Amino acid sequence: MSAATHSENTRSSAATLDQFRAEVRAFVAERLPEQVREKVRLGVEPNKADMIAWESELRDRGWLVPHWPLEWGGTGWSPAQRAVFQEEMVLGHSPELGGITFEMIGPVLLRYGTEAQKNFFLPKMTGVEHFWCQGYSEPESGSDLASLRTRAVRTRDADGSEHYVVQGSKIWTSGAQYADWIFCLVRTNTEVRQQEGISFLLIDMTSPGVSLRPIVGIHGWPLFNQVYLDNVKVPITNLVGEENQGWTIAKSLLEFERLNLARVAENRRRLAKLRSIGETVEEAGVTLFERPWFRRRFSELEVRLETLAATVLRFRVRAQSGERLGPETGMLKLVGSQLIQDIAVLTVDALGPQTLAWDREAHFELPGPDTEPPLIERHPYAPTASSRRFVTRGYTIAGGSSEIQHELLAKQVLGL
Amino acid sequence: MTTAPTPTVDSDDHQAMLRDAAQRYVERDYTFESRQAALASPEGFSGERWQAFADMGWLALGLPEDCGGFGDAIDAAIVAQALGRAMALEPWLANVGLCAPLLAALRPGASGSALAATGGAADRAADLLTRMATGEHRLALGSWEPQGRYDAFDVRTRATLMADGGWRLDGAKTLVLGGAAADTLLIVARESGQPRDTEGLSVFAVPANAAGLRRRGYPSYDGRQTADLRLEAVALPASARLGLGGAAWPAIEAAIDHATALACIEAVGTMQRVLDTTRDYTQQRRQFGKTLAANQVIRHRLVDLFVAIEQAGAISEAAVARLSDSPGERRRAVSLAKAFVSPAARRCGEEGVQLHGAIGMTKEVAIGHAATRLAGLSNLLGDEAWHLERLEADRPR
Repeated sequence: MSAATHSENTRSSAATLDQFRAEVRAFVAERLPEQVREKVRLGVEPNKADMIAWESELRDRGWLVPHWPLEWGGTGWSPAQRAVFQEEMVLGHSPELGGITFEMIGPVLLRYGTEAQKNFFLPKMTGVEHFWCQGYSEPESGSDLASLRTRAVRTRDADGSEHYVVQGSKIWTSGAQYADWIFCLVRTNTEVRQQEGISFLLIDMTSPGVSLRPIVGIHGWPLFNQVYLDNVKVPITNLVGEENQGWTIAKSLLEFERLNLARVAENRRRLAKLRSIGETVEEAGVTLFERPWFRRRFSELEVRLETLAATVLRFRVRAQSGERLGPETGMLKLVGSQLIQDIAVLTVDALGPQTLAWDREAHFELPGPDTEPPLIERHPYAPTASSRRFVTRGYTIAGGSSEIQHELLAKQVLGL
Repeated sequence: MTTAPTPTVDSDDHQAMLRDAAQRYVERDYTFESRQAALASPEGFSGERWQAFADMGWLALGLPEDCGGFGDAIDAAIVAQALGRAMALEPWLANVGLCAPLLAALRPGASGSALAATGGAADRAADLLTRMATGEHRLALGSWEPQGRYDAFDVRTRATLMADGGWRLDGAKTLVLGGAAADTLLIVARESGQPRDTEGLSVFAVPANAAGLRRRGYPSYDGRQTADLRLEAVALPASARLGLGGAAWPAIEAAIDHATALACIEAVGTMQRVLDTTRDYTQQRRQFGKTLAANQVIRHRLVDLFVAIEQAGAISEAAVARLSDSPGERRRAVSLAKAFVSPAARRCGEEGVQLHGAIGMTKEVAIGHAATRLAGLSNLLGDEAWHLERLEADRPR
């Protein structure tokens, strides 16, 4: 390909991409329910009804699971289009979609599920009928997940039907209060090496023996749950893959959409919000952007965000040219999670002492006509700034803590 | 297991006794469970505990002797450190740290004050102090306003002299520490000058039930009690003004510095709790066949916490020791401490959470409460940037 043709191609594909971006942006602007947008903008927690409303819009447009195969509802977009879609969604204040459902259990069933499992579960996901939660961690097994102890024993009833009886408990289960199903790693063999005795089970949350305990997060509202599994009967047909193959399945999840772990779009949205705070909030009679301490810290975050974006872009280009990305992409989670935390802290510092006030209601409901007006007006971002910032502390813990990420990079990339 | 008490500037027997008593009280009586119960109560703290503080003399620390007080700021710091360890919910800092030194300075005959001409207000400040020390009467300072952020002198609340010699107050106050539970609010209002002038400010004693005063109490996210106030044509007698008119700023600034130094000491107490809790947890929690603390990276980070706490303790104690120095020296000492402690405390809480993992993200264990407490402290009474700026502003050119 000559240089001229190449650059023409690049130009035309850039033009197509811009057009696509405009299309996504217009859709999000028009169809994202106003109250969901407002909640995300103000840091209020969207509830299940909000999620159903928005995911139904995406379903109707055919955009709920762009990354899935065409026959199961995918769009066949290029990686670049998917990146644009994701960015526009976040910048347009879409809440994070059910990642557990669409990014985890969906892809697992696509790869390892039986035809019967696929035919039953996948349409329920894309139809916004089933919400899922993840049952991996246990009270004694966090980073060291392979040590998990929830036991599943295979038994046969008098009528000859086979099922597992599951006994144990799962913890840090986000969204369990909304979930219809939970996918669990359970121990099916105690005689072999830890990793080789784990199976992957799908459990109906309405099964007898399943119960929940909400756990209040440091920001003050229930963030996760402990899920108790007390002699829960699970049909053998709910086993995914082979018995004792669960660890391999769980590990394969790490390969999906790794580049998203950088959370570039979310970082961008948060920095944009911080910019608007800097432009409007005053200190000593001038806006924060006229204050050296703020300007400097903002610019530092901007440098880190652009550097992260450039790093992701470089990985993306390599992936597009056919290179298989390896464990080095784990660095993106390290960097992206730390950046979100630091943006959240500067957001608090920028809003100042008004962020000390704790307003529980402000986290669940938008102010309505019946809301008693406050004695003193606060910045619209102030009521949730502190708790949002505490939530971000979990970003360096969940999904493989930063310490675990460092170990993986040391071993798998540097060969230490 | 606890960290050995940090060596402090005192060596007197009574201070050792005070420290022992405070530590004992916190360990035996201020349990996590009792704190949780108080936090869930309508007031957000324990009235019984407040009376216990009074009975132990903790509300009289550093107050003038003629108001029933004893000891000095170093004694108060000993209690502040224990209360920091307990993450106490009671408005001790608001009363003993903030209002007491202000009233002591505004009282007629206070050293260095020229308040002979205060007329009817003669013993009002002393009376409030005396009743605060016994636990029967609670106080709160309303100085900060929303537009002023950390600048307590940025006051738009107006004090107007009425024809009958009384006063009328109009304005708004925010983040009034201990404001919801206060019986009397000390309101900083402007008699003259522009909103950011330090001249022209006076302090008024406003009963919590005064007509025209609206008060909305709310907790801070780390469990302190605070309030927003609106004053609309609040009518007060002439005697409500404490101290000389228009000249209260030096006393207000000194009181805020006093509270800031004690807040730094509180932070050190909380940081020590973070280290102790995290050290214990990482020695018990096993992953990959060994304790977390068996990993070198974890051990080094615990050491970094220790180093930060030692430094925070040293600079905070230095600030407490200088509270009675000249205003310039006091300001410098306090800002040195707070500019160090604000980011160090915040970082300490965040590290405690990170080293605990997911359990640290919950309110079910002390570490989660400590992390929010330390984050709150870093934005209370001036953040790092504010204190760095004050240091720079005071630097001789």
